[in-house]
Amino acid sequence: MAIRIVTDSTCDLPEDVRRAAGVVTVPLRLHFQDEVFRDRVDLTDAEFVARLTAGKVPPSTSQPPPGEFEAVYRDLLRDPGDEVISVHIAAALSGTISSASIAAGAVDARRIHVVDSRSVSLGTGFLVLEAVERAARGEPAEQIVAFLETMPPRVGIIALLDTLRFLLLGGRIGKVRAMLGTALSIKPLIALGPDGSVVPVGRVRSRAAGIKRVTELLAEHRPLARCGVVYVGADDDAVALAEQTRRTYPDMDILRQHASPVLSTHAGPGTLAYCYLEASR
Amino acid sequence: MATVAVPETVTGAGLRLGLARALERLAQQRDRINDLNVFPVPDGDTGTNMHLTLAAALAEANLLPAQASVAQVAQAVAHGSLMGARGNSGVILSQILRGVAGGCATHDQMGPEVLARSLREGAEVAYRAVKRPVDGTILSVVKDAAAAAERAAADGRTTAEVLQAAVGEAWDAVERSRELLDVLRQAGVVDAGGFGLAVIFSALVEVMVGSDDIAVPALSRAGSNGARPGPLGVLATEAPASGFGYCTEFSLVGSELEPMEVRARLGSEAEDDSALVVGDPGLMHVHIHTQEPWEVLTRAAELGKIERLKVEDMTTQHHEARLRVGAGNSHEGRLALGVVVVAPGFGFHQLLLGLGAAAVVEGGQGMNPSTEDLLRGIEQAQATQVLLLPNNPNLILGAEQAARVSRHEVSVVPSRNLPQGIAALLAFDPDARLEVNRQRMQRAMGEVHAVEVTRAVRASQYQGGPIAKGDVIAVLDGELVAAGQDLTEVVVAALSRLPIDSLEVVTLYRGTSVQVGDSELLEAKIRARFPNLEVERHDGGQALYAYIISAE
Repeated sequence: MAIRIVTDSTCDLPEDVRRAAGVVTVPLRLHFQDEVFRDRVDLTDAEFVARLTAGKVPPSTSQPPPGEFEAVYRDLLRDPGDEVISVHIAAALSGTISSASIAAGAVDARRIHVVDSRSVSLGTGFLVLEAVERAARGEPAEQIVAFLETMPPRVGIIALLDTLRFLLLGGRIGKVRAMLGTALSIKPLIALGPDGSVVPVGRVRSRAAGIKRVTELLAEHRPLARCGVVYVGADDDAVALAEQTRRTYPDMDILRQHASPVLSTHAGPGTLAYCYLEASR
Repeated sequence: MATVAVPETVTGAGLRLGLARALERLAQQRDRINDLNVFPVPDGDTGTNMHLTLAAALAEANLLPAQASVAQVAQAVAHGSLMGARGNSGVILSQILRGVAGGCATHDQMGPEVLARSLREGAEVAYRAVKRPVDGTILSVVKDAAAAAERAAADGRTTAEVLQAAVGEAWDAVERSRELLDVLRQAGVVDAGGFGLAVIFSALVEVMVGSDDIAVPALSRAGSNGARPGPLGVLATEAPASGFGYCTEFSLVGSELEPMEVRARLGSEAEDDSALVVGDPGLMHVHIHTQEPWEVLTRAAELGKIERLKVEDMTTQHHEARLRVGAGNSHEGRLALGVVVVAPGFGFHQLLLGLGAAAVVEGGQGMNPSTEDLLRGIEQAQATQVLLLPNNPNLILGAEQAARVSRHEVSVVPSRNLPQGIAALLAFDPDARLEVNRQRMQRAMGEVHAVEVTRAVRASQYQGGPIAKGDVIAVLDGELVAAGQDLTEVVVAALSRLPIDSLEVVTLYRGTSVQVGDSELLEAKIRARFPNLEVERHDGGQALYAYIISAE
């Protein structure tokens, strides 16, 4: 009897963390015209950014097919007592939850618990970590799932994008559309709303001002339980931001991760983001 | 074409042939289906997704021996599509195919009843797969088609007639989707996934009855309504009539480039604004709101032939009203919190409204608005609470006076120039509280430098030497830092005083006294002198000041 945790490639947890905890990661799909790649399986983050920057036509992305979830679930549920907790990118952003739910229904809905993190990247990753830790402590699956369902209101992302273009091309612009009306070139600051869809929280004209602003916005969510820095091709800035965050939260393990190619497609090169989990009150 | 007897049933081989034709038809219609895609996410890939999903399905079926039963073929198709499903529409298609496979599971071939039952199961499995099924999508198309098939089967029709009934109803359901979903009605398109499914059904009929014109009449209906469907089609309706400037529309004929590439070539407005570039390389439709239509047209002319050109000055429609409700918040009723900005010149007005100002009050150096003007602006904002940006040191007291007498709650954010005001407006978040906004805006103001360039009204002195009447002078953050006869030199001298290494963007707002060509030259000079800076040019439209420049 075991509880196994499944997530998807957008969760951005470091591979060693996922591997050590036995987390199974199902890759989303990236399509560069007629070429298909499994997110982070067939393409490294660096290869991807090079393609994204060089290519004229940005790639499109797609949820994993239900069949892949089915195969993973069947493989994990070997013994009658086994259960799966499957934690994924917000349904507001991706059809991944839909593929996972279809597969869960086809395999064994009672033993597979699909959780909508209502977030993405490390926002989803924090739920995965929580599930891993609780499962290791021997908590029953239902109790873990019930706790995970309480987490999304405390999970947040604050991101500085270099441009609105990639959000717009990917169709995920949501309420950030309101920022389109301007002739000035701006860099949007975005966050995720309660369901995980993208909402605007500010705009700046220079990157330096944006980096300052994301830090100020993060401070509004103190005290924090977890925090990480996620970026797309902006390594130096991410290093500096993570360093600065470590000074502010000396006792915290600040993760620094390149965003998955799928997420990078929608946020665009230059993206710099904080993912955080507020401490519970 | 030789007359071929219409088969009485759908065999395994027949289903495979039909799906192969469907794949061909989907490939032909792929871009068109992509362009229809506005729901649930307008990412323009429904056609591609359905095509690739069906390709994966057929690839698996093609591994079977030629004499495989319809059940075996349907099973392979279902499994292949399940593993190869791409995107939402692909996943739903895979569920339809899974249901169909269940419906004919024990049969060598499909007669009328089995066919109808298979379609019914396809619809049911697909509905179950979707958490909140929405009418007016691929789901209603498969459901209605299945119902028509069942009616025909109950009437004792042949297999081909049952299939034809299903296809006819599928196309009708596609047409109805336009009315069922608001987002489709607004974009003037039919549902992309439903359209794709009808294409697949049509191909099956086509193969079965040996006719190749079945899809044609129905297809011609899809893009009707004079709509401009496109991957961003929903933008055309959702975006406010903002932009101002010029609404520029034309067809581009004979270009060899894809719409995406054309978009990239037409300049930044085509990429970032609510622009539409849709169609095929041979013929595409362009719709752009731009401040400089001539620039866009010059670039477009290099790519192909421009036809049906229409340029409308969106500015004139609004020009008479100096106080306007911002386009960014084309609200009905009152705003909770709005920003009122004082600015000179029409260029600035457009820009500020585009950035979300609730109202703009005309005013600037030498023509400060009265308290009454400010109060009128505050009223026009139609907001319960107002943040007021005076953009002039001499107007801060007047603004505070207006704030006191206004019957609304007004808070002055003491911006001393337009660059500060724009920086503050950029930091505004309509969903945050007034006090939070005031602090954020004040902080943002501190992060921008302003250079204001004008001419001396009398001879005087400054630390750099004497100034003659009529000399160009540059004021940096309130302090006179450069003077001389040459406008460009004075601007560059003033900018040199800035901590250039910590700056990224310089924005030039041109006054009415400066020609566009001269501002282009200035831009080039600045770029050459400070190669690490981005330089943007806009038409501020202010009098007195040749340039207002922000550096941040």
